[in-house]
Amino acid sequence: MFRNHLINNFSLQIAVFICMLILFAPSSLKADSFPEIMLPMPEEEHSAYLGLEHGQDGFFLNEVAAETVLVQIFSMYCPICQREAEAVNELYYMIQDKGLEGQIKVIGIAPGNSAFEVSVFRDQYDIPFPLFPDPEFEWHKLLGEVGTPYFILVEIQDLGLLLTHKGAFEDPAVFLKRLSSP
Amino acid sequence: MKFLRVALIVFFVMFALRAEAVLDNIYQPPQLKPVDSELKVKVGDLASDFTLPCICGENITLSDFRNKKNVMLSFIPAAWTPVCSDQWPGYNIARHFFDDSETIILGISVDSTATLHAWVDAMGGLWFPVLSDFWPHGGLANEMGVLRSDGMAERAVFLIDKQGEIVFIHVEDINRRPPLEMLVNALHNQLVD
Repeated sequence: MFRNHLINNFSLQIAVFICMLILFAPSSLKADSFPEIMLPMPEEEHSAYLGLEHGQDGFFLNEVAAETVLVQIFSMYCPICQREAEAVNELYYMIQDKGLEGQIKVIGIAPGNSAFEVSVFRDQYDIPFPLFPDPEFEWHKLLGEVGTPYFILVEIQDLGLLLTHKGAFEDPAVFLKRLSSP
Repeated sequence: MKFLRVALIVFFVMFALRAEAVLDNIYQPPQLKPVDSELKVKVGDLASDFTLPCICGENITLSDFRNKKNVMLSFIPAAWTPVCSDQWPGYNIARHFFDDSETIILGISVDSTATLHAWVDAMGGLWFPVLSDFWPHGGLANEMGVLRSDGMAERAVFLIDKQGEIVFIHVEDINRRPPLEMLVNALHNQLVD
């Protein structure tokens, strides 16, 4: 009986370990801090969300009114980003519902996508957070040309990278736990 | 018994992640000459009829759409390459633009039917037919003047109206996607107005 219990526990631990290896494989982002790139000012509703004064030409990430910013690198053409869109929305609403807005803000950057292509993605999935096109891959190059989707949790104070995640994150609640205590 | 059950759970988790792993393993070609062919057709020409095998298991003939649908031929260079794997899935969420202009996309590649089937499946499927111009190799691409010297097709788009006339041609730099807004404008200006 005790032997069976040990085997079962051991099996479960191996199973969980293998899943963790797959899900939390090391990222390929090379930088250890977020590059100082100026992003264009989003529309008023999104400026208010980010705590920015509307009327500026652009802003730097460290001006965002939050402790951290979760940056999603995505593309409207990427099938995994399409499948993941609802889960990312769910994560955003979960952050609001739990009152973590001051702790984590969410934005998206779309390498190789025009403003029109980003708008198609926004409309299709009703994305509630600010999305920024990067048509000429300028920011993407600075970010180490990571694949999509890719998530980067940036600490506002020093733009340090607290967490990176390659690919879909599957369960928003589990991912939020990781974001809350990276 | 319990071990088997746990092993099965692990297997299914890995299986669910399979599609992403497949797309992670895409071949990275070097930077290619932007365009490497000369068009043999022009706007205003009547498109030659053709029949090609579809990954759906049927043969598709262009003239079957005559008087029923406008057609966008979308040639891509090769399956399992980055830009191509990042072009057609975008048309999945842009379908309404094509529906609004009564246009069907025919995706065409010189890859074999079997290769295209596996690739499209790994991308999660597409709403439009994907045709293989594999044999005689690149026959249709060659006839239209978009077969490159390396045997791949250009990244080219031909809009053909319901009367079978070519109303728009665009050959994109092979290393880039054709901008969606350009296609949407062409659909609107050439087929709706």
